[in-house]
Order: sequence, then C-alpha cells, then structure tokens
Amino acid sequence: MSTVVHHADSPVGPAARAGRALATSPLTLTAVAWLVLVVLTSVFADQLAPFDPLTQNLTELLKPPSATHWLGTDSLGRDVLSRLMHGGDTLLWGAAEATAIAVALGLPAGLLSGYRGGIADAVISWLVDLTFAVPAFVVLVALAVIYPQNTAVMMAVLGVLGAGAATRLVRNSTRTVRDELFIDAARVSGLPLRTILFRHVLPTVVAPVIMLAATSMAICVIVLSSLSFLGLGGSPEAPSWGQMIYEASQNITVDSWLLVPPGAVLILTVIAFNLIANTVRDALPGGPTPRPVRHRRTVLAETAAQRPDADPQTLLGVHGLVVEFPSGPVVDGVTFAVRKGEILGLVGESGSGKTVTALAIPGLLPIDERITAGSVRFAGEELAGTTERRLSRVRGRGVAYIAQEPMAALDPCYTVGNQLRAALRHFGATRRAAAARTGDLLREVGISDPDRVMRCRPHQISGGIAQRVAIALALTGDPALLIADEPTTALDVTVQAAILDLFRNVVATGERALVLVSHDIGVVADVCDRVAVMYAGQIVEQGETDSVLGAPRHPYTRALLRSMPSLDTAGRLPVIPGSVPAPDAWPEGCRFAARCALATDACKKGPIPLMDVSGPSPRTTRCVRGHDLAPEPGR
Amino acid sequence: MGSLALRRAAGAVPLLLVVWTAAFFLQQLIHGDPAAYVLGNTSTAAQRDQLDAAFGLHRSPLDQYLSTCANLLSGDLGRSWITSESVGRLLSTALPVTLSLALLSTLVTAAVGTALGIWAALRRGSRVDRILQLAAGAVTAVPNYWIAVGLVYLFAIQYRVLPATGYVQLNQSPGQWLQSLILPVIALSLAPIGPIFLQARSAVAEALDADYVRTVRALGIPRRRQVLKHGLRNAAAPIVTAVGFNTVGLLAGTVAVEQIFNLPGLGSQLLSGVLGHDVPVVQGVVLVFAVGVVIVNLAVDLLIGVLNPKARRA
Ligand code: SF4
Repeated sequence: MSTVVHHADSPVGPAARAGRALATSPLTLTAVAWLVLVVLTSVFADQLAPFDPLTQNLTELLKPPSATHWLGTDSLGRDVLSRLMHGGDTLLWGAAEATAIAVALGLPAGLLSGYRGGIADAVISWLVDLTFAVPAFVVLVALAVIYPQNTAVMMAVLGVLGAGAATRLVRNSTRTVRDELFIDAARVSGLPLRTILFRHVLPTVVAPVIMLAATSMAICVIVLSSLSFLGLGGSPEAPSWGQMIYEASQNITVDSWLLVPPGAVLILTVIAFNLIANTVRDALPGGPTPRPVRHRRTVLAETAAQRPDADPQTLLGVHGLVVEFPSGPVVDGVTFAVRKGEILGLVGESGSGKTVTALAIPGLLPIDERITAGSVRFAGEELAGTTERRLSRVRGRGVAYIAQEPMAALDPCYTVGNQLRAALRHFGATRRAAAARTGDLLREVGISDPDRVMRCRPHQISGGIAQRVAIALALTGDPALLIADEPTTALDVTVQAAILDLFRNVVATGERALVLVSHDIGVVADVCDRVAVMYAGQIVEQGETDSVLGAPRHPYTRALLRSMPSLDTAGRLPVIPGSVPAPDAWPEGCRFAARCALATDACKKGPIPLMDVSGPSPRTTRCVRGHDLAPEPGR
Repeated sequence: MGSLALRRAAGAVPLLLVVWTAAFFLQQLIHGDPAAYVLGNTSTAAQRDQLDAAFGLHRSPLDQYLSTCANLLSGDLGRSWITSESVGRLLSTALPVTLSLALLSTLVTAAVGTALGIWAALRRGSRVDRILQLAAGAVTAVPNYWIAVGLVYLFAIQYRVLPATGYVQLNQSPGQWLQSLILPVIALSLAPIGPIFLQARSAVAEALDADYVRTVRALGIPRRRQVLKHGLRNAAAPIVTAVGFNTVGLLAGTVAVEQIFNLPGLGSQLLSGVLGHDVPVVQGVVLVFAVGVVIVNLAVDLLIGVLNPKARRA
C-alpha cells in the first residue's frame, strides 16, 4: 500500500505516449532541433557553406577562428566550417541507410519469430546470434580488404548486422503482446495472420522500433565515422567528420583546435540520437516511474515529547502521528499506546494506513514518505524526526519489524544461517556464539530441523518456514517490541495458527510487546489483548479486544466483523461494499459516511472527534452515534 | 556449472565455423586474379605465378577451403600472402597487447561504472544523481578515437606525463607496460562506463528498495553493510551482463585505439592486413575476435550461473 500505481492502464497507446514525451521534454526538443539543423545544413551545404570545402589556400594555413573563417582553416588552408557542413552528408545518409535496412529486415523477422515461435523462432534466433558473433566494426574493417572505400557494401553489411538487434527487440515485444488476451481473442475469431500482425501486434512494436532506430543511428554514426577516421570509409577526397578528426590528429602538435569542431558536431549528433531513444524508451510501459522526491526531515517540536510517560509499563506511545506522501497525508493523527506483555492489533482494510503507521514507528518509511507531525516515544526516547544513526541503535534491539512477505524479506543470495549469524554478530555475539545461537533460535521458532534449514537459501524453504525464519531474525537482537505486518496473510490456515501461537509465546515472558497489523479481524480476535481499528488514516475505534469485538461502537468495526467467516455461514460473507477512500478523496466529515448504513447529516458536517465510551475498560470511538450502538444482546 | 560451460562452448562451435567459412570466402569476392590484386598492377606475370603456386590460389575454391579447414584443425591459420609468415605466429605476438588492453579496460569500466552506480543509487533524485545520468549519456556518445587523440594531445604533448605511443611488454617492465596502456585504456573505457553506470545504478536502486534490505535495515545493520552485502550482491547479475556486453564493444574499439597509440595488437595487424590486401591475416584476426566474443559471453554466463542463487545447490 505504500506503492503508487502510475497510469498502469492508461488508455493512451505507447506510441502516442512516446510522441507526447518527445514533444514535452525541453532537452529532447533541443535534440530534435539540433538534428534538423545538422540535416538541413548537410543537404544545403552547397548553398550555405561560405567556401568551397576543397579549395586550398596556402596563404591561410591553420588559422584560428575569425570573421571570415568562423571555425578557422585547416593545414591546407581550407575553411573548417565549410568542410564541416559538407562532411555530415555521407555519414548521415549511410547511417540512415543502414538503419533502414536493419529495420526493414528486423521488423518482419522479429514479428514472425515472436509470433510464430517454433522452428521459425529457433532458426531466426540462431541467425541473430550470428550477427553478434563478431563486432560489426571489425567485420566492416575486414571487408575493406576486398572492398576498399566502398560505402554501399559497408552500409548493406552494417544494416544486415544491425538487423540482428532489431529482430531480437521486435521478437521480444511481439512475444509479450502475443500472450495478451486481445490477441487470443482476435485469433479465435478467425482473423488471418496478416491482419492480426498488422492490426494488433504492429502498433505495440512501433515505439520500441523508433527507439531502436534512434539508437541504431547513434551507433552507425560512430561506426561509420570511425571507418572514415581509419581512412576506410568512402572517398578520401570528400570531407567527412571522421576524416577531419584524422587530419586534426596529424596536425595535433601544431594546432589542437582542429580537433574541436568535428568532434563537437559528431558528439552532439550522437547525443541527440541517444536522447531521443531514451525519451521513447522511458515512455514505454515499464519505463521508470517519476523519481521520488526527497523531503528534508522535519524536526518535530511536539509538546508531546515533553509529556511524562503516563505509565512506566508503557513501552510505545504514539501520539498524533501524521505521515505524508508527496501527495498529502495518509496517516492522520494516530494515537495509541502499547504496554509490556501486551499484543495490540492494528486492523483495517488496505488503504487504512495501518502498514504506513507500522513502518513509521521504527523509521522505515520509504524516502518519499515522512512523519510530519506527532510523536513516537519508545522506552522514553523520541523516535519521530530523529536521525538514522539514532534510529539504527533502536532498531533490532528495541523495535524489530517483521515484513509482510516472508519470502521477499529474506535475501535470496544468502543462506538462512548466514543471515541469522550476520545479525547475531551485529548484535555483538562472537563467531562461535552466533553459530551456536542460530540453531537455538530456529528451534525456538518451531523449526524441527534447524541444521537443514540453516543451509537453505530462501527459495528452498516453504512460506511457513520462511516466516519462522523471519521471526527468528527479528528476535536476534532480543527486541522489546515486535511489529509484525500481516505476518500470516501469505500462509495457509494451519500454518497461520501455528505462527500466531508462536507470537503468543514470544510475548509470554511479559517483558515484550507486539503490534500486529492485519486486515483479518479473525486473526486479531485470536491473539490480541487490545485492538485499534483504522480507517482512512485514522483510528476509528480502540479498546480491549473482547469488548470492542463483542460490542462494537463503530459501524465500521461492525461491518468488519460481519465480513468475518464464521462456522454457521457457508464461507465468507461478502466484503463491505465500496472501498476505503483515497487520501485525496477524504471527506470533511466522517470518512466512513459513504459506506455507512447509519449515516446522518450530522456525520457529514465536520471532522468527527474520538469519543470516550469507556465502560469497565477504556474505549474510544470516532462515531457520532457511538452511544446509540448499544451493546448487542447475548455477548 | 561445468556442464553449462560445456554446453555453451559446444553451441559456439557451429557459430565459429560459420564465421571462419565466411572469412574464407571473403577472398573469393576478389574480382579477377587474387595475385594481381595483392601484388598490384605493376607486378610481373612471373611474380603472380609464384604467389599463385605458393598459396595454391589457382585451385578450386572448395579445394582451397577444405585444405584451410584441415590446416585449421591442426592449429595452422595459414601464412601471410605478403611476408609468408605464419599467421598463427603473427597473431600470437599481437594477442597479449590486445588482451592487456581489453582486460584492463574491462576492469576499469566495471569498477568505475559500478562504484558510480552505487553512489548515484544512494542519492536517487538528487542533483549529483541527475548530473551523473546526463554525463553517462554524454560519455557514451564520445567516439573512442576522438578521445584517444585528445588524450595524446593533453597528456603526451601538452603535459608530457605519459608516452603517446608504443608498447612495453609486461615481462619486460610492468611499470612501463602499465604506463604505455594508461591512455589507451582510458580512451577505450570512457564510453562503456556510461551504460554500465546506468545499469548498476538501477539494479542497485532496485535491490535497495527490496524487502530484504528493509529487513536488515530494521535490524539496525549499518548502511554500508546493507549496500555492499545485500544491495550489490543482488545487483551483481545485471551488472555483469552489462559489463560483458560492453567488453564486446570494447574489443572492436581496440582497432582504432591501437592504431592511434601505435600498439602492435590484433587491431594493428587487421589494419595492416587490410591495407596490404593480406587476406589470410585478416581472416585470422576475424576468427580470433569471434573466439574472443565467445569467451566473453561464456564468462558472463558462468558468472551469472555462480551469482544466481536459484541456480546453486544449497
Ligand atoms: S459518524 Fe456517522 S457516518 Fe460515521 S460511522 Fe458514525 S454513523 Fe456512520
């Protein structure tokens, strides 16, 4: 829930998106403008160039830039600017030809190979491998032994070798679309292959092909200019950028300036092609999402920090906690406390802010989310707004966090034993003590064959075992408070029960406490001493588990309970209709009003405060009708 | 692991065979009498006949092909048309030069690209990160021959701190060997650092965002360990792939760079072969490059096999 989905199902096609991206980035626009300028000056070089590129003037050798020769003259007195304007022609044409050949061959071959698969795919893939067998540049140089200065042959060969990369790209894009539903639908409806390819597959490979063409232009320009530099590319009479760089290198001891103009033009041209390729690529699906914004940490001057801890038994006191994403708050004034020996359940649907609250306590929020107000006091120390260094001293020893997906929470590259030992060593154990403790820890979390599990990597163990390992890892620092985020969601029912038992044991000593985050009110009912129900960033009801779940004083808690599976109904009742409003759609009044059967006008007037509805034990609810919700009979 | 290497190597054999065959038939593309092509218009009929006889150029193409294949199997790459020297011997003296260049450049690109990638991944979205990304795009566009000439000018002509040309063998003087390679290696490494940096940056960033890094962070394990033990280790496979891909490109770059720095490597052999119409030398160099590409790809596959935890046994 801390991830934001970025237009995953935007109706705009990738090609259109790429086009728009091209038009809106100033850098890319500059690139396009530069290329237009280079192409136009190359095409109209005869008209535009101030001098003839070949006319030598032996009285004006190696002159620096001046009013007549804007970029100076070379070692034969020829005008550098004029030579530059004439020098792009063959190069750009050559690159364009090679690119056109690459696309013309690669597009059909890739479509066929990707769509048909089978033998066609195998044969084409082998041919593609062949194009990568020897670097294209080496092939072109070797060819010059037979065809010196023959640009036509070089273009053709460069195009054919480039077709390998084009085929591979088109093949892979086609592969992905082929498997998508609409293609299947088109196939069953009996459309001919050609129609499917042209109407359905081709549009999705257009953007990748544009990207490829731009990249290919960049590569071809470098390759062809290198050949000119070596004197192998085209007629030595006609000026070209590569050849100008060669001439500059011959005069480098007397005049280094000559290296600058052709180099700069060449490099800028290649950069321009690459920029266009990058812009198109970034606009493709799966391109990078907008980069996260990093906030400065605010130092919170909360009066709560000076508040004396009410009860020496209180381990964690969260007060008025506000967490903001770049788009605004997602946790909005959450207050609760956890005492030693207690299990507190944080329950709510996804979007309620419970996971963000859990992550905020040990300061594990992603970089674009931050605590903007409130206080998190743990064992007398303020954690909100403190430094990473101080937090890292509290983490592990004071507060341990157990993540939702046990498999993803363990590093796939190291064995279970390695990860446990490293953690124990971090907490000060000697090498030998860590090795010994690892087995004990695994046994403590109910693993019967610790020696085998220790030698496994995470993908070699089951989800249940992985969760036990994750708990063992969290226990390595002997923490006072455990925060477990949906620890049983990924597991099947029998394993769930065992893990919950394990949690009960973990706090049984009376010195530890546990905050258990769950969407499953059944899990909460099973193990929690107290429960805080969250909805749209707020706690809406809080109290002892028996009293809250036995006689809910908030319609949301009631609805959650009704959606719980029970023995007398067949399976789970339908979930609560509607969904949690997104933070930008939080209403001013009661945030549950849209889904609440009891809503009245009073509910929508303004923010609903927490009301004290304590009975024998403290209770709060955030509902104007909290008192009306009389305890249900027969509890 | 060994079986993967064997399978890969076996798969490369037909590929190399095609390359060799194509390189052989290159000489069939010569218009008219190859001997006249090699020796030029001023040669006498007697000279041409001598060349024909020495290299069997009058035989049918298939005949010649089969005998070169037979020679190849016994490790004989043929002889130079110009000097009659053994191509195998010629290339074996050139190989260490190119190998030194390529290996050093690979190390430099991998180390610099990865280090900068980690650095930027830790500062994602910051100004340094954006500047580095732009710089990565820019250096990729710089042709190695241009930067090579520029480096010669700056360090060998302007400041005279490093030799401009020439090569010293490693076993003669390791210090001078390294000195003679510093500028060529920089020229070859600059462009590939860009893509390797970008790949390392995104792979490390992805690993740092992963749950397993949050797990160790939640244990209070210091940032340095989070990054080096967990972030880098999990990002290693894509980085190795990028390094391998760029090493192949770098091999091609040695041709121009050896020319500029006057290093007697494979690239220089190739060029002199091309200019002298010495087809057997060109064929030999092409084959060696193809073998080089096979070896680089094999090394990448093996490394990825070692790095990918799922391929390993517990
Ligand atoms: S305040 Fe009103 S709308 Fe909100 S939960 Fe209570 S009754 Fe429903």
